[in-house]
Amino acid sequence: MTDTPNRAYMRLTPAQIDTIQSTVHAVLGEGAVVSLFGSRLDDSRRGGDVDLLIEAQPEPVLLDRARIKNRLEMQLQLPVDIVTASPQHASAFARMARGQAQVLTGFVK
Amino acid sequence: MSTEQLLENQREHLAGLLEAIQRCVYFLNASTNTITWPLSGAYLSEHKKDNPLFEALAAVNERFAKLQDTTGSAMRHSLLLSGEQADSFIKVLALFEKQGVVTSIESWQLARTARNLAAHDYETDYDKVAEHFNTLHELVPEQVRIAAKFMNYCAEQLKVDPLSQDFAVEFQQVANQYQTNK
Repeated sequence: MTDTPNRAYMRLTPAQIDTIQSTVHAVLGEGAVVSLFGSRLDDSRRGGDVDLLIEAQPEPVLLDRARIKNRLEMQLQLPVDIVTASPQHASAFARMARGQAQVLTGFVK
Repeated sequence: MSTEQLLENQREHLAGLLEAIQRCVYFLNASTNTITWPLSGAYLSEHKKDNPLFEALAAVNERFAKLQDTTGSAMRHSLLLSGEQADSFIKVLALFEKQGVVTSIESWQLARTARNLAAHDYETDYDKVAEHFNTLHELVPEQVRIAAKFMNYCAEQLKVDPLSQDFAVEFQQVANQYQTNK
């Protein structure tokens, strides 16, 4: 996981990042860490899903994942894919995502 | 085709959808009854090659989805008979939320997303597989209650009943079970 966010390489606006963080924190609490991975980290590409890695203790349950996905898709008007992990458990896919993910921080009021 | 014929065809199509909803509830209930709930990851891991168990779980996934999709189609179609206008499914849900058929738009969408997430995750982590199916199982009563309320709405407001009574008794039994266990 990258400690420092790098907005220059993230195809999300500050407002979109605020929306993502506030939505995730409203469902899971302030301790949840949200990172972006996938095509939206690539400035040379266009469009694409918003791929989020959400790490929380305990790992988010299915209904919370569904709740976050619905709320974000409604607010962002973009397709959102969510991968979850906890400090104790991360699937191989979550670990792959974590390897390239950039933490979304610093925009929540 | 005359207006009366068109209306009659629309009523017959809705009646067919209502029967399909009752059938979905009957078979979904039959599948869930073969499984001991709640599931645990340890239990699924111990039974990882239990074909009847995993066939039943696959049927729960499919039948839950079919119940929700058929109810959605029937709600959308019923608007042709009620004279309401809705150019998106959100508006259909909003109209049925107002009628007290759907608890809330968010709860309907939550069930839909949860079922899709569960259906599209190819997990070999049995704790997660158990959690997915336990969640679907928890969502079943709400879907059955929506189906029962929609059935009542069609009977009372549109004077349309299921095409046949083939699944009516069993449907009512399942609906009563979830009504009392609410």
